[in-house]
Formats: sequence, structure tokens, C-alpha cells
Amino acid sequence: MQDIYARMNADPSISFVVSAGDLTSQGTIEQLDRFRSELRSLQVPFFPTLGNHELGTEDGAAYQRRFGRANFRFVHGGMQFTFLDSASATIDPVVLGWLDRWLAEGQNHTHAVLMHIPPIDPFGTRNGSFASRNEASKLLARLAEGGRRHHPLRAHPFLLCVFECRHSRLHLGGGGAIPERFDGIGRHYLTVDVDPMRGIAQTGVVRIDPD
Amino acid sequence: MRTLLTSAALAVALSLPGRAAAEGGKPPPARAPLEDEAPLATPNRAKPLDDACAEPPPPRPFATSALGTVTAVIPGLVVHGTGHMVVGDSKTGLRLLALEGVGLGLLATGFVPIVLSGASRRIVGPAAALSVVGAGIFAISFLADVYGIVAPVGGFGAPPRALPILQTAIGYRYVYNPVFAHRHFMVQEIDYRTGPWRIHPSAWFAADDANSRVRLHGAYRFAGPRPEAQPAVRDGSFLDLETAITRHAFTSDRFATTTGELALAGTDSIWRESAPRCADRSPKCPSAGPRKPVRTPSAVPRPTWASSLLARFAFGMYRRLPGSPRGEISVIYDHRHDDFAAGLKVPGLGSGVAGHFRSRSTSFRHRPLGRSGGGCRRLGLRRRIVDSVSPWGPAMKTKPKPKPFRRHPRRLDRARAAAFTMMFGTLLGAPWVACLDVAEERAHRDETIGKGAFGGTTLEVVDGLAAIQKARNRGGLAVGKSSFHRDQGDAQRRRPPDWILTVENAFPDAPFWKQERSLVPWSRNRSRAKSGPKTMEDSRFPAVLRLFRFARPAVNPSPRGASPCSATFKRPSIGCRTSTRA
Repeated sequence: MQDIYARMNADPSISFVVSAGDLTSQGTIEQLDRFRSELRSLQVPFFPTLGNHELGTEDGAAYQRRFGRANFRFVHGGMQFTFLDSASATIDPVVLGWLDRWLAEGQNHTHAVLMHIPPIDPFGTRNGSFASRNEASKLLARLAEGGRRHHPLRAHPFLLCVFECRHSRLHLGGGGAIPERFDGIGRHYLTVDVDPMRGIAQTGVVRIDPD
Repeated sequence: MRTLLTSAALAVALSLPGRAAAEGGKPPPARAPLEDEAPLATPNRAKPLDDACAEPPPPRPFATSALGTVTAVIPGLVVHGTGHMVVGDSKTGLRLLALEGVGLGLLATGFVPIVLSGASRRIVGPAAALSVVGAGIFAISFLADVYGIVAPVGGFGAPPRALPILQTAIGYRYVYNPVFAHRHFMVQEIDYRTGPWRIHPSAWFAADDANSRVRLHGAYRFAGPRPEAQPAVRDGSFLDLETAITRHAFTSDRFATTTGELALAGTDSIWRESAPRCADRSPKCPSAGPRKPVRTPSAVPRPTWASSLLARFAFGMYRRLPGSPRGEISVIYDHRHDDFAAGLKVPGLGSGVAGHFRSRSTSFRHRPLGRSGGGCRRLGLRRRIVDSVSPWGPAMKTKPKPKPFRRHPRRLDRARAAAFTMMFGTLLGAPWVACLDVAEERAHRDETIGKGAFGGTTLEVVDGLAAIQKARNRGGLAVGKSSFHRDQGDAQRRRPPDWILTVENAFPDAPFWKQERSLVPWSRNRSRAKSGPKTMEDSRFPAVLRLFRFARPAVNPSPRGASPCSATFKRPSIGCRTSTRA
């Protein structure tokens, strides 16, 4: 990760980093501690939620002890960022209740929603998405109801694309566990320019390694 | 982790006999599987039973059968076909072993590229289909081995060779999904066949929620049993072209989905009966050789324009045990993710991609409902409507009540009945245990993360990522990526000590609010004061470490324990509130 962090540190326009999970391959305590140790070289705040590869140890409890909540939100620069735990290909009903409250409280903000496994996979035969299409539709319907732009971001199938879905623009970023091949994209991270009034203004790709 | 029943169904089916029964006065045809059932392959019979060959061959000795059953499981779970080899049917055993190899080969051909390519979008479609088919064949060869040993000669039943014109069903279904409010459904189905055409509308209406699913399913049968009077088909194998459109309205959740499907579905047996073996009495016995009435599933990938990979396979059998109603039992793997039961949810890494398992059992009561008799096109349950599926008599036989198990030694009957119960009880029960609340524990942990207490003071992370992470014995609370310390210097001077909040991973301009008053950072990017407690070095977090110092909250004398002090990070991502308990 150090080469990626070095690139990020060299970019003064990056104010913070978000991650939609799969920080490790198995979520073991050693891997989590190593990730946290390496994270110390990053000079901007780092806000992650967990991915399914963090569930390999204690069903994510080890991750939560080290990194905190799996579901949370904050407002920065007039934009609300919400992190949801979809590592099990679903959103717990308790979290859906929190999301309703967060959506109501953040009505005046452009809203970025981050989760690991996306509600839908644009490549349906892969189905790297929610276990239930009905649950996915329910979540997307809620996000679309707010009247403001919502931007779900996720990382699970390790691809990069942007598409429209139920009035919400879905940004798909690269993951870390098993990189997707033959997609023309190797290790990379996304830069997202956000504007509180216009939402996500621009998305760029910084390539670290070729495919 | 709660494990709960996904769904349970109870339905009553009403059947109208086919024309064969109506016009010819023959007994009614056997019931056809409802659409929801996976296509099931049927036992193969090269030709209808000849009267001279109606007597089944003698059953296997009990000891041989028991040993075969055990070896069909261990080591049959790894080496499929072991059970048949042990009882002397090496040919079938080797076929099952070959089938296992085919299944493993397809599974490896499909799954290994998925793993190596990180589920590349360019290959994942066919690779996933191969994986599903391979896994299905692998499971089938194992189950077929066990079934072939456990079942009596002729099997527990036989497939229908003619279908009713009309079937209707009305019933109740319970659906549990913690994400949705609906639980109780009334279900109605009609299944009408004319010639090769089939139309099958169905509707689900929730009784406790505004939720409904309406589905129109149609099919054209290229080959297989039909309702018309015709020469008996060789077996229950069929090939259908299916299409369906489904409208599912989640009114209370304010969305609806519409799904179109186009599918090719079929069944076939995985082996044909070998050359007639007439080991016993009569040279007129060309078809009285050992039959393997194994209903083999099909695994037909059904791509649809909805860009979903739909595939399903099943293993099932017709059943008829002494004293129990006749019917069918099947265990089905369904890869679709848009039904009430969708993808498999499991703790750990693997949720989402796989489909679900389900079981289906239908029973036919002999007691008639409504009028029965020779009339055609009349709704009603026919007496002995499934007599034709009995393997111990000629097809469409009406008169006798076959008691096949009585023909065998009683001990063997009991053993086989017990084995049958164990085998299919396990198969039927396994899909009912599903993990549906797989993220529940993590959500509950989120509720407790970020809350802590020390020395009568509680600290709560109101918002953001921060969570209580560690506590210092002589002065501290620690929160998430922050730590909270009491200033030892203050303590030594015997005045209320100050608290020092250390926040890791914070924005450079993160303010800290306490009792509606912003606190100036006590220290930023520098080492701690000499008198302060030793903490981590700032240089390790040069830009994201924040330190705040403020007076320790006074104890509130209020008996109600109202918090006299609160301190909160208003932004950007870490917030905490402290309060002192009375």
C-alpha cells in the first residue's frame, strides 16, 4: 500500500480517503494490524467500511475493534457521506432504520453512500451484488426518494464503471482482495471531486500498476 | 445468529383429468409438476411394463443393501457409485463415477477461471454457468448412488406419462425476510395445458402487507408427456421452451419490479437402462431387468434479458410409502436472485453469489373432494389419481391398491423406510435452515461501539467512525481512533484534573465542542507536555492527530443524573459526547 499512499500524499488536492472495504484478504488480526500499521504513513484521514474479506475472522468483530463502526455517516464540506455495511450482500434492517434517519437529516446535503457489495452488478451473470434483487431495489428506491442526488459507491467486483440506476449514479471502484483481470485496469484508486451543490463533479483514475 | 425458515408452503391441488381418461374411460393421468418445481428427470423405461414382467425381481439381501447404503455415503461422498459397486452393480457404479468426473470437470472448468480472473466480466457468464452445471451433476451422481441403493427395486414411484388438462391450486405461504414486512401470502395458481401449449398464471397476495406478485408463465413442449390421448411416452423426460413475465409490487416499500424470462427447460435421465437382462424366468421378459428409477435433475442455464444467470437443478423422486399419501419430493438448487427466496446468505466471505436451495413436497390424498367419476373437464380430486405412478403395476392401473412393501421382507421394508426418511428428511430439512440475519450482529456491535465509561464519566461517540478503542488505567478513556487521558500533572496538584482527548485520523481543522463552546486544540502535531501522560508520538500521525484538553466534567448532583457536560465533534467525521454520571 505504501506506493499508493505515497501517490496520495503527493496530491495536495486529496483531503481524505474513503474505502468501501476488502482491506485484507481474510480479515485476520495480523492482516488488520498490518493494514493499520501501514496506514500510518497516509497523511490524510482514512474512512473505511468493511468488505466481505474482513468477515473471515470473528465475523468482522476484529475489524470493528480496530477501525470502528461498520455503519456510520458524517458531513464534510457540505456533503454527507454515509457508509453502509453490505459485506454480507445485504443491509441489516436495523441499519435501514438508521439510513432513513440519516437521509432525513441530510436532506439538504448531496449524499454519497458507500458500501462494499453493491445493490446491483451491471454484469448480472456475475451477480457480485446483493443476494436479493428485491432488497437491492428497496435500498435504491430509498436512496432515490430523497429528492437529492445520492451517489452510491462500492468496490466489490473490482471494476470501474459509472452508470445510472434509479436516479442515483453508481460509482464502482477498484477493490483489493482479488483484482479483476482482463479489464484493462490494474491497481488503482479513484479521485472524486465533490461539489456540495452539484454533487460529484468529476471522477478520475490514478493507475498504480497496469493490468 | 438467527436461523429461520425461509418459506413454507401448503397447497391443495385440484386436477382435471386428461382426455385419455375422459374419452376412453381410462383412469386419470398422473399429476404434472407445478411450474415452480424444477424440471425433474424421470425414470427411464424402455417400454411399458409387460404383464408377464410385472413382477419385480427379488430385492437385494438386507445385509448387502445396508452395506451398500453405508458405502454410498462413506466413501461414496467422495467416490460416487461406491454403493452400487458394493452391491454388485459395477456398471451403474462406474457410470456414476464417470458422471462425478464430468461434474468435477465442468466445475473446475468454470470455477477456476473465475477465481484466477477475479470474476472478470469477460468470462464470468459462461464460467458461472459451467460451475453451476458441474456442481449440479456432481451432487446428482452422489444422490443417485444413494437413492439407487436405498430405494426398492422399481423405486418409490414412477413418473407421470400423461398430464391433466387443468390444475388449480390455492394455498397459503409463509415468507420470512427480515428486510420486508410481509409474512403471510395467499397463493393462487392455474395450470392449463392443451396439446403442446401450456399457460400457467399465478398470483401471490400478502395478507399483512401491501405486496403482490403476479406471474404469467407459458411454455411450448417439444417433447414429453402431454394431456392428449396418445401412445404412452417412454418416460417423463421433456423439453420445453418457456417464457414468463412477472410483476412484483412492493407497494408499502414504494417500488415494483418487472421481470421477463426466456428459458429452455428440460429433463432427461442420466442413464438409460442397459440391455435387457432376463436373468430369471421368462424369455418374454425383455424389460424386467433392474430398473433405476432415479429422477435426475436438469441444469439448464436460463439467460434472460434481465441479465441474470438463471439455472436450477434438482433431485427428486416419486414416493409412496405404506400408510402415507403419495406424492413427490424434490430438493432444488435455484440460482435466481429475484424471487422471495433469493441468494444464499452465509456468515463469512461467501454471501450473495450463490442461489438458494429449496425443497418441495407434494402429497395426494385419496379422499375425494367434490365429485369424481368418469366425467371429464370437471374439477375435483380423483380417487387414486396417482395410481398410474405406481411402479408395481401397469401404468394407468386403477383397480388394485398396490402394497409393494408387503412383497418384501418386513425387516427390509422397515430399513428402507428408515433410510428413505433419513435421506430425504435431511435433504428436505437442509434448505429450510437459512441464515437471514447475517449482518445483525455487526449492526448491534455498531450500537455499542463508541460508548464507554471511566471514573464515573461516560463518553459516547455521537457520529462518525470513531469508536472507543482503549482505556488508560490512570486517566483515560479512549475512543475509536481517539484516546482520552487525564492530565497527571493536574492530579498531582490536587485539583480536578483535566482531560486530554487524543484523536487519531482527524481532519486538520476538526473542532471539538464542549457545552456549546469550541475548544482550542491543546496540542497539534507536537509532542505531549512533559507532565502529561505518555502517548504515541505525533510524528506517526503528522497530519491526522488531534489533541484537546479541557477541564474534567464536574459530577452532577442531580438525582436524575442529567449530564452536566457534553462535548461533541460537530464535524467532520468524529464526534463524541462526554457526560458525568451522578
